[in-house]
Amino acid sequence: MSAHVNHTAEKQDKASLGFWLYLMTDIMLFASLFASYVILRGGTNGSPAGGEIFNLEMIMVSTFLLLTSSLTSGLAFLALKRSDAKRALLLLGATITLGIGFLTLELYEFGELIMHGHGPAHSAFLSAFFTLVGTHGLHILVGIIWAIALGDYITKRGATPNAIRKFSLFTVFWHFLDLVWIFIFTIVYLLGVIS
Amino acid sequence: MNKHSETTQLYIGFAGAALLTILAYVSVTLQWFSAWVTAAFVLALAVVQFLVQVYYFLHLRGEEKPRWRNWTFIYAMIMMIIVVAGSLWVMYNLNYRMGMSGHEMEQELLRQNKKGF
Repeated sequence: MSAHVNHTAEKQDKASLGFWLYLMTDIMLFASLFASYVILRGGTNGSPAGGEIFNLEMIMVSTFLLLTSSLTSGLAFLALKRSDAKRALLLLGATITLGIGFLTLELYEFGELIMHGHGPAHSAFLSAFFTLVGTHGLHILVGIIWAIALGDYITKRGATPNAIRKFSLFTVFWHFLDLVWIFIFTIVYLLGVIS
Repeated sequence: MNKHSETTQLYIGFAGAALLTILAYVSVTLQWFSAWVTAAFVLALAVVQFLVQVYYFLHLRGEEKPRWRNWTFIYAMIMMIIVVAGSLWVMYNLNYRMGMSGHEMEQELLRQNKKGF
């Protein structure tokens, strides 16, 4: 019995460290995209700069959707650790809904920009913008699919040690995406509106 | 650490992040300061919020030795700063040198020659 527990603990430790190392490489991906964006943000090719085409009120709403989903994913993980699968599923459902809301607003924003002639092909600034924000959005999409798969797993098997292990990785991933968003919100949107 | 305090910490992190986000947003929309000060202010708020979320959401602390997570995280942060600051520095220099007129370029090269290698 104790050997089994130790084995599970070791598996948990290795898996979460491996996943953590993946996130560290993801930081490098976002670092290069941020660097490109900051360098290219002045290259607007004669069209309006970021401040004139961004909808800051909407971005504020999506920021809060993502922040709240980060909270609910953490609460869901704690509920799962208490073996409260029902509450965990409810909070996971909230996380997924908020994530979908965030992604919908982002797609709406992209659609609006493209419709008004501010598509990614128009200028270096817009290429860098769509790449940076779109890469983050793609991560969110992957997170939503992962969360749905987790919800299915927990529905079928309950709050097993395996479910908790899988869920802990998802929570870290989801918190990480919110961390990246702080800087997208500040560097792309707030600084874009200032200058 | 008991479960109650873990939940409380999530709420503290959320409240802190929300407050910092609103503060940054308001300082920009109400134009409290001049453009440069506002830029520095919101960047500082972003760094504070980053630390708040790392502490209260990611729980990146109290790890047992050999502290792989902490060290790889610090390593990634250092590499990130090198990539971002290095790119900006190189590109600023490039812009500066490429943006000169013929006469300015000649003067610049003469200055560089005087300095030697």
